[in-house]
Order: sequence, then C-alpha cells, then structure tokens
Amino acid sequence: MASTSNSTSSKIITLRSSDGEVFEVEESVALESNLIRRMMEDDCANNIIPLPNVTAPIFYLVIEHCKKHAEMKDNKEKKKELRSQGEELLKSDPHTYSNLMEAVNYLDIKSLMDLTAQWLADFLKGKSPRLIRELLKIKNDFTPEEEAEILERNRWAFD
Amino acid sequence: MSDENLTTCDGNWSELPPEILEQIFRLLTFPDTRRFSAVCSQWRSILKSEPSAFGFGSIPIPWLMVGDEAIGSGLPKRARRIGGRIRRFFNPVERRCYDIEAAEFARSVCHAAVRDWLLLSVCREGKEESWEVLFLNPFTKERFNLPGAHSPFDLGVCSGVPTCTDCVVLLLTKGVAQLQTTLLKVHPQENQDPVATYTHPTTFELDVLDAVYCGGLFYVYGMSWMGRVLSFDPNTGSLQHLINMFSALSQPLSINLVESLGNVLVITRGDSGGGWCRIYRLDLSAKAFTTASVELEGQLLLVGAGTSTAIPAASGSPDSTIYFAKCGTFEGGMCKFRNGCKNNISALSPLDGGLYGLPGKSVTPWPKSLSDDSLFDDNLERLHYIRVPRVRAWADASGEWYATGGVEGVWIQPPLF
Repeated sequence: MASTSNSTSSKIITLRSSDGEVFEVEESVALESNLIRRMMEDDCANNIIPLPNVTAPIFYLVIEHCKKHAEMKDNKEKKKELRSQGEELLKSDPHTYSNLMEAVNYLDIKSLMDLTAQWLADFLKGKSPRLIRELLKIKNDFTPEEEAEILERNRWAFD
Repeated sequence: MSDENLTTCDGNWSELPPEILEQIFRLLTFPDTRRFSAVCSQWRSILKSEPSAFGFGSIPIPWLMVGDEAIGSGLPKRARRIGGRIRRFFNPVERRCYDIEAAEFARSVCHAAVRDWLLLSVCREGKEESWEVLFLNPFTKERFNLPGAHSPFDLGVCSGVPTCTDCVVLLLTKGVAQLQTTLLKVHPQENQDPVATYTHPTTFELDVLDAVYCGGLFYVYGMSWMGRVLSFDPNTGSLQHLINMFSALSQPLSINLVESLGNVLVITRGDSGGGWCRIYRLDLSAKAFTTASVELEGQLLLVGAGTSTAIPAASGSPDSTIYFAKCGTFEGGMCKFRNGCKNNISALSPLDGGLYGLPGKSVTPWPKSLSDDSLFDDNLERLHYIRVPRVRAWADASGEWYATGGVEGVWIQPPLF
C-alpha cells in the first residue's frame, strides 16, 4: 500500500481519465479497483489504461480516498479523518459526491463503495424527504396528489 | 439555496445507477426507507420494487402496539386509557416507538391482529354497553365493519386477513360453565353477519387464554384447574376436547399458542428459578403434545395472546429468539434459546431495555421481577389460575375512557408501501 515500505518496489500503473489527463498510480493503490485489476489480468498492464467514465477531478478524489483508506486500516484517527472529509464533501458539494460514488461504482472499489454508501446513509438518517431533497438538490417530481398520498400513508415515519 | 442550483445539479442523485441506490437503501432503517421513498419517484420505484430487501431483513419484525396503562385509586388492576385517537407502536429493531392516529382507536379494545390488520371493538360514545366491531388497518386506514358481531367478546382469532375471500373469524366469549363461540365469514363488500353463534356447555369454568388458527381448525387454550386444548371446527361448529395439559403444579405464568410452519406450538413461561420457558408441539393425530421442548427450526416467535406470529429468523442468527408481549400475568420480555440446549432457557431478559409503561416518549424497562403482587388478581392463589379480565369499557366522571380485557400487547406487521 502507499504508506508501506515496499512502495519502492511497487509498480506504477498509468491511467487516463475521460478528459485526457494521465495519472501514474502505484499498483497497490490501483488494484483496489476490481475494474483495473481485471483489465490488468487481461494484459493491458503495459499500456495506458483508459477510464472513459471518470473525469480527472473525480479520479483524483478516488485515488486520494484509496490511499487514505489503505492508511486508515487499524488507525482510528485516520478513519475519523477520512470520514469527516467524506461528510464535508457531502455537505459542501453533494454533486461531486454523487460523481464520486458513480466513479467508485464504475471502478468497482468495494471498500470505498461501502464507506461512501455508509456515510451517505448516516448523513441522511432520520431526515425528512424535504430536507433530503434540499441537501442533495433533488427535484421533487411527484404530483401534489401523489405526494399527499405518500405522506398520509407514512405519516408515522415523518413525525 | 437558489432555484438555479436546484436545476443545474438536478439529475445526479435521482438518476444514479440503481445498484448504487440499492446499496445505500440497504443500510437504512425501516422508517428511513419510508422517508426516502417520498424523496423522488426514482427512489420510490426502487424501494417499492423490492420492499423486502430494504429496511432490515426479508420479513420485517412485527411491531408491538402497547396499551396506555392507567394506574390510580379506584381503577381496577390492568386498566388502560382508551379515550385517545393515538396508539403507540414499538419497533423492537430500532427500539423506538411510533404514534399512529386513527379515529377508530378512540374507545377501542383490540382482540386480535392478523398481519397489518387489527380486530377492534369500539365502544360507542356515551353508551358503555354498545359496541361496534371492525377490522382496521391502522397504516392505510382501511376498515371493514362487522355489523353482526356482538361485543364484548374476549378473544378473536382470524384464519387470514379480512381482505381475502375466505377469511373466517372466531369470537370467543367465556362464561361460567360455558364457552360461546361466534363464527363470522368476512367478505368485505358483502354480508358480514355472523354465520353462526354456538354455545358450548362445559363442566368447568374455562378461562380462555389464547387461540390460534392452523390448517382449517381453531385451537383454543383454556385454563381451569388444569390446562385444556380444545379444537373448534368452523365447518361443523363443534368444539372438541383434545388434550389436558399442565397441571397447576407446573406453574406456568403464561401460556400461548403459536402457529409455526404448520404446527401448533404451546409456549409456557414461569418465573421460578430465574425464569423459564418451554415450548411444546401439539401432536394433533395422537392427541398429545411433545413432552420435550422443541426446536424452533429457524423461526422467530413473537408471542402475545391472539396476535402471535412466527417469521423466519434472520439468517446466521445463532440463537432462536422469542419475543413476548404482555400476556397472561407475565409482563413481557425476550427469551433466547441456545442451540442444543433444548429444555432450558439461557436468559430471560427484558426486551432490549423494555417498553411497557411509556409516559411521553421515554421507554421504561419491563419489570424484571415478578414479585409484584399487584400483577395477580385478588383471592386467587398465585400461579394456580391465570385470570384474564373480561372486556369492559367505561368513562369516569371527567369523561376519561378506560378499559380492561382484550389483548394488551398486540404484534402487528409494520406498514408496507
């Protein structure tokens, strides 16, 4: 992993984001992604691996999170730090957070998927539908009648 | 937050690939799934498409509707306040309560529950002897009246939900040296008068403690100087004595019948030696019951008179668990059975911190000790007789409504979408 001493011998993987930026990433970090792992097993390892679904800023975030995630194992402080960073991003820029989740899903990084989903669920737990819409900037696409019916049936959950 | 923001960023969260949303939704508590389903139509359709996948487990653990216990001078033991339109429901998974309002709750006594339906008797305002009997779904507010049913009866048992075409309801009224059964066939849109009322003389005073429907027959557990299991055939109207069970010496404090995987289980509990619980299975062909406690076969039991239910336990659960509502003279609690430990109970503990006597939103523990003599009726030797109060409702001088009898702790399936 990024922080361990064997990083000197670690191989560097080259990846290209959808907007053309090239990233050089340590193999141990890149292999957190099952997508990249599969591509390497399919012998694309010596070439630049294209990631047509991920933009550079998002990919940068993913790598950062992967590195931190590797560091955080058995480290409560780091765990907290990563979590609060995730929550901060969720609060300040939910748009980017959703892109991050999409990228993590596309790259198939299970550990990070679990974490980002958990942070989101914790963040929204107990909140009203209206507040969730406001926080995540989601448009209410129910008709007034539909919404009234949903609220009436589930009133117990909204008090 | 400006409208512009709303439009420019719109689409991200509501249009995420379903597998991402599903992963998030799987982490939600049951009420959160309901809140999330009201956010936008895409979220709703995902949550509705597979309601069983979200909100803890494949079958939601039933909620417990709890009575509002009234203690005061001049009030009979085990009186409850029934005047309000709100009833409190406890979700054992979250260990929190929800208040649900329905006009029908005011002055109502519950007799039975089947899935998300309650069988209620509602006392007409100003007329303490005049009752309406109805089925209510407290979550959807659907109701079916049963105009031919005469209350107060003591316990009701349903063969299924009232919306199915062949639902049969048995109403049991106990009396001195007789047991009266009233049979109703429920057709929501049709005639709901009782099919028949039968009076069955008995040579003993029989206190009906619980009843259950299983495989076309109703089974009734009654108690006099010893326990008896009777079967009632809705096709012939005949009440048959099946088995004598449990002399008073075995001292159970509560006895309940549960239908589980096509069998009738008898669940008994007592308080000696730190509390015990034994499960017996009726062997219907041999007219006997298994003498050894039986395995729960992966089922989770939720036990309460008239409302017991069995659901598959969450996979990987090492212990079989029984949740008890208030039943008999026992106040409720939870039992865990260790695998391989057939006849003993490993722990009898208050259910996750308890839930009875809920003033405000706070949850107070179930009593751990059963030494409180106020739990027992006067003039009866403790443990030899379990007397459940008859159904009665009345208003005091200030207009506050009270009731005794009926079912005090009701297991009910939580609301579906």
